[in-house]
Amino acid sequence: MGIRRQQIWAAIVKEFLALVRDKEAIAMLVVMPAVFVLIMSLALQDVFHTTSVKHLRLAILDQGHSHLAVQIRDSLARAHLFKVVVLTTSAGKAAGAVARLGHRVAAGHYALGLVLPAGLTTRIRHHLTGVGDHQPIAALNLFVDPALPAQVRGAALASLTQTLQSLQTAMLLQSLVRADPKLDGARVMRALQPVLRLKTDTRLARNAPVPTSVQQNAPAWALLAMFFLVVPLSVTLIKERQQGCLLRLRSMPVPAWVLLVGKAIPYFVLNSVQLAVVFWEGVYVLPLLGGTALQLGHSPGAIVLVAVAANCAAIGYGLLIATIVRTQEQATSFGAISVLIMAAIGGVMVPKLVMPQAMQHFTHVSPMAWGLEGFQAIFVRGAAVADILPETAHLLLFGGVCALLAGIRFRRELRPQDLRRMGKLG
Amino acid sequence: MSLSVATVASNHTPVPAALEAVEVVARYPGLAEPAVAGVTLTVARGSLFGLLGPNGAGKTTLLSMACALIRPSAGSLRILGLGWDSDPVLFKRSVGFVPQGIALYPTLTARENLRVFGRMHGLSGGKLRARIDYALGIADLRELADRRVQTYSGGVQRRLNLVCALLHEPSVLILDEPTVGIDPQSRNFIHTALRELNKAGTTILYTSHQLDEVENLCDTVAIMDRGRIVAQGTMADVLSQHVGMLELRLGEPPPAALCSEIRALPDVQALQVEDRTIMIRSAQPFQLVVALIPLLAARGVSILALSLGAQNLEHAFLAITGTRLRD
Repeated sequence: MGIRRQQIWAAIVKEFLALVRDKEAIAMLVVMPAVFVLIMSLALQDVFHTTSVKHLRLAILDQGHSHLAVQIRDSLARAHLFKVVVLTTSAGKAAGAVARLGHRVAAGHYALGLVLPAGLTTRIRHHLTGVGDHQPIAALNLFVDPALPAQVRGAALASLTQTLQSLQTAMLLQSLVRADPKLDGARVMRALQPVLRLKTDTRLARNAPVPTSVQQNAPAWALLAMFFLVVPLSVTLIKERQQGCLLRLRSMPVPAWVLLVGKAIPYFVLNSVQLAVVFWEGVYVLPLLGGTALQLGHSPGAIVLVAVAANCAAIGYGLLIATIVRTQEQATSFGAISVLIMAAIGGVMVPKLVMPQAMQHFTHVSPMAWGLEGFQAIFVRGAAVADILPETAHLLLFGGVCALLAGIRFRRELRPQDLRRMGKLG
Repeated sequence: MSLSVATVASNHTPVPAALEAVEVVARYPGLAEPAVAGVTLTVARGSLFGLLGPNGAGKTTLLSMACALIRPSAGSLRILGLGWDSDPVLFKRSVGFVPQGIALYPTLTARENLRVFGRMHGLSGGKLRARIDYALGIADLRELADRRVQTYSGGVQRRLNLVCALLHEPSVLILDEPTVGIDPQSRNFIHTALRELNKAGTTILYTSHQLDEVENLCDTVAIMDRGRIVAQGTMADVLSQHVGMLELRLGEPPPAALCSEIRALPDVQALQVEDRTIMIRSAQPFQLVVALIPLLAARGVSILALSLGAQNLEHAFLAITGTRLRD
């Protein structure tokens, strides 16, 4: 073994032993993201189904026993919309029942509460046929859970409005058929069946894919944990400085880059293990707890490429911060806060899809966004190696520039002013 | 024939000194005065050399240049005739450096620490194992070799700190205050080890605040003050150069007014008081004694002892710099 390789090996072993014996650092880098992914994926599972209303409970209070409620329920059921519960009430207790429904919706028992007043069917029929009294039909009272996200509320209202309009059309045609016996009722009803339908296909969608909760959270929190290595990495370098180990090493015929490489490789391995643990958890553990399994796409090569590039970016940044900060307090405050800002901007804490448009453009300044977009392209869009090359290039370039700057700073580590700062002037 | 000529010529080549500094200057950015201001110093091979000076004297800066940690701003510094620029690797391999702090990885064992530092010096295999065993033996750490350093006492850590610098068999061992804050037993242990190493041919350059330690250990000393070497030579040389020292041991601590009166006497250059002892530097010590005795008698202060000339390095330091080492 050549001397240089032997020195690198010694630096790696030293760093690896120091790292694995620091249980707090291991816990922070491996266990923290695993726990976060589990909690956040389960907690935010519903938020990521923003345009689906299938899981929403709709209570219909039918005050007129008119069967309109049943028709609405059946219509929504046919369209697989909402979980519908029909409530009835006697005429004397109508006001109390409405108030009760409002409270139950406000308390979150139902997402929506629709009130169908007594005589509604008759009034609609009079309106459609032009016979009988022509009292105006008041807007139907719909209670909405205030905690319902705006996007879900919009989707629910659109679905409900569409269903009511369909029912109104059907009632109109039924009344026309009844009025004109010459009309072929069956034919008219057949003609009412929708023939122009949409079939969505997201396989080729290039922009704004909507990931599942775990597809968002697993790579996001794993990336955050990767970049969080800045704290233990900086602290080990500061301790080496304070203990004088760095001084001793620099008095030996060891180039600065050997020491930096020796420091980087154990963290590269640890980050890789951490990422593998998080993805394994997403694929196998999360479904056992009722969550959606992480779909990893179809390109293991692309995953490895983004993982390696993100790892290089995180380590480059960690080395740069380690060579800039001078105290453990600076490492934990500046290092951690800068990573949290990168995470907030990069869509780790707040998913990019719920950010305003202006903020979504701003995410591109964060390396964590590049990593996240790379992983999500693979998981959600089924991207292959060629598709994630731009994100990979950005990450590698960022990591390379940071490592280069770290190397320059580290070579100057023992400039006279640094020696003075270390209290060695004498 | 030509071979014998060459042999004769090589026999007459002067052996380079262990350390040779010529007009070495080290400047720190932002400081008006250089930390090392034109030091010329020779440390002979095989010597046990003590470098003394108060904080800020420039000792560590000079040692840092000798260990190739920083470059001189001006002048030349050679180790065994090698300059940093001519062969930096050989320059560094010639030196073993024991930093002031405990420069060890606390979560690693003694053996692991030695292995890391040995490998950094390019040692491997059987040679590395043999040197680790040797170092553990010197530090009397064989039984504790596989325990983490953080579990050791301060003295044991200091011993390990020392032997980590011996793995690559350096010709010159540089120690920056290696006995700070340790118990007398561990200090004696380190001194004994250093004497043994020196006997075996290793040149030792030792800095310390402890003047008695340097007196007991070193055969040659240099005193630094404000970036300059103010005295150097064998212990006897340094002490004999400074006869203008007068030490008085009194029956009681001298009052401040009396000290002021003594300072006002002709030829008093510096005065230091420590409890009942007064140390005075004077260009005319004999005349000073003549003036001093009646003054003390008039003030009713009894003299228990009086000595002329530098008795120890403490006196010599005061005589040279006008201040005490720990000021």
